[in-house]
Amino acid sequence: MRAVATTAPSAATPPALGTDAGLQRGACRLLAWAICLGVILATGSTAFSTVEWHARAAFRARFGRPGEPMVDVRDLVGVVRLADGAEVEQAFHTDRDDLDGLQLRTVNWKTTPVAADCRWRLEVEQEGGAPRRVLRTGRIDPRRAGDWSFLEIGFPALPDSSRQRLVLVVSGPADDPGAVMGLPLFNAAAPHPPAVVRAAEGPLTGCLHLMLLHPGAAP
Amino acid sequence: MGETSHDRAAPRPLAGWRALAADVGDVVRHPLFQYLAATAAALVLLFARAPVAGVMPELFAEDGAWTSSLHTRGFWETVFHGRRGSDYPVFGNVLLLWLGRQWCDLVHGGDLLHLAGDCARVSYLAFAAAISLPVLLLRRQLPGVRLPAVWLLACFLPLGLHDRSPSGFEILGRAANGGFLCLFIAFVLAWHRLANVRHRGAALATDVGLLACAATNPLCHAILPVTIWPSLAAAGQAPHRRLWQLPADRLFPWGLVTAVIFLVTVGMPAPQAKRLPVTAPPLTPEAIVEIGLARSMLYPVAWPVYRQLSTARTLLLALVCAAVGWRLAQPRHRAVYLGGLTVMAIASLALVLFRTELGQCLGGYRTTFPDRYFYAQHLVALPLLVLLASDAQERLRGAARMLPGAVLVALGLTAIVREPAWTVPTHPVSGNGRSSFAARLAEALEQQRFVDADLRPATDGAFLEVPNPDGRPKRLIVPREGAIRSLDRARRLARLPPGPAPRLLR
Repeated sequence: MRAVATTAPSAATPPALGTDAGLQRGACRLLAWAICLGVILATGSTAFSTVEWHARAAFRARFGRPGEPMVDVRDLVGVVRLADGAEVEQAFHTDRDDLDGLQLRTVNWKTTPVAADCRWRLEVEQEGGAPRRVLRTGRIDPRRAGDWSFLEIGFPALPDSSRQRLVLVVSGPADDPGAVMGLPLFNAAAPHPPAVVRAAEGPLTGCLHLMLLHPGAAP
Repeated sequence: MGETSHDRAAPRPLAGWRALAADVGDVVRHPLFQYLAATAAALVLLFARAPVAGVMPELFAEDGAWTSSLHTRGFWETVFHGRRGSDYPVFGNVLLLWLGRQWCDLVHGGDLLHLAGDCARVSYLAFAAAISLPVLLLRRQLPGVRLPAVWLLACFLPLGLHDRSPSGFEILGRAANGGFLCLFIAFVLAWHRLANVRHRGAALATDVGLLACAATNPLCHAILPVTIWPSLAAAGQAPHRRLWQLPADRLFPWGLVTAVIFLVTVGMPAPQAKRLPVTAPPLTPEAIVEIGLARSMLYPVAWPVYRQLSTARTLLLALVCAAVGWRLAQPRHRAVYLGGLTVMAIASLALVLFRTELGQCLGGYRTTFPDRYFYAQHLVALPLLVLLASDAQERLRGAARMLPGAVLVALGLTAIVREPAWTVPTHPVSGNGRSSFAARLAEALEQQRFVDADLRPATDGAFLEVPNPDGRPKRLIVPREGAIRSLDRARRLARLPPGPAPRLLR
């Protein structure tokens, strides 16, 4: 004869599905999951939004003064390596006074350029073919040059920049230190004087990608 | 005194709350919940580490090209012909972009100005879900503090975010480089498959995951053969039966079989052409050591002093690591170490053979760029490191028992301090000129740059070609109607930069 189990179900035994107790138990579990997932969603989305707000503020602080393009650019023409005494001149005009900086697109061929003697100078063309007058000069640290990104050159504002025809001259070191920065030249989207290139790359007809900075530019 | 019905009912709400509290406790201890919580936390951490993809409305590199292809050619065409040369599918990458597009449609009404951000969010989420996968699948293999240690180290994996040539922004939030992640996912799935899976359904699900990884990253094919091991072991236990006579839950390697069919029909990808403007010279032995050993395999432990390494130091460090591993690793974990190191070695070999330009990029321990090629191996290394630390702790005696844990804590803290999540890296690529996406969209409409599905200019074309901000050849193709609606909405919300209003919007 078979032994018959006589012990009652323990208190820990879950109620059978389909009974009232079972339904209550299921609903309770469902509610627990909903609460826990809700907490994850709420805290996660709040934290994400906070980080996003902070990041947007940081980006505005870093890039909040967008430059005004000298001219919109299209296809890449070539890249001038700033080495062996290479020099690039770009004439430009701005409609606004108080020009106080330029953003210059650079490349670094995915390497970190070595510290080299790269310089820039801002000149103004004189009437009557007289030699150009140097308005501002400075050095560029090639190690700051990113790949296809903009390198900012700041200088004291030029009060009457809208009435002048300006020329930016960027020159590289006299030797070739190996890893250097480069200046890409592009076809302009609208008629614009091309850059004058004195470099081993030979004749390249294109414009530098320049952004003109003025104080109080709209973010 | 007799008990009233009110008295009897009074304790019930309290009991209900107690039951709910107990259930909440059960949910909190549930692996799935812990996985979701870890994914959410990782999502926030990763976004904080490199938010550029999430806040700049530009589709990066292949993200733009594949999104364009999704618009014009559809999902499967993009999967199989998205890569240059159509030599290998990019299933995972395209899936992320497709999900980003669906998210954009669902949440932002298809506003194209949100498309890049939505694709980035999906990519951040995928990365977070992938690095949290051990929390769900390897709980028994990484018990106690080992699991949170692996997760934390993965969240703060050094990615070169604050480097002088930063490249972490190319990884986090970018679907284009999500393929490398598949190597880590496949490693975790294979480990789980061998260690935990005992039922046909779980085996099938795991193998489908492995197949999806292999359909995205060809290196994952090297991992798939291990899935045949349970079948072989089962056959060994029942030698009198044929393979097809084994019970259905004997873990047939579905993924391996389908992957072989897949490989036969699709084939392996061709090594890609060099991307640098200069021809990459053949790798020197020093460069091979740098790429294959220092950057690929030793970096997870050597990254704080990576720039101080040289060929001799790398070889010495490799010897020390091998000796430490040999001496301290527990025999019961040998299969895991062997598997992980094999995966890392295969990835390293592929880089040495097919990415010779990396010799120039790394330039003799000067930079860590490009981090995207290496982060998957480093993720694979993390569970091995934590396991080794725990094995070492078992073997060492006295105060030395604290040493392995201290080394891991030091590595983690250094990572947190060197690449802090609280300092937003604003890589210059994010400031690509004033020409915002909205302005370029408006310009494209103004110039009526309409194209058909074959990208031929067509006045009545259903698509719009948006010019690239920096003159690079990759073009972004978006639906014409979507562009018009998005700009119309942007103008209503006054988000459009000043300038002439596009004629077509009137």
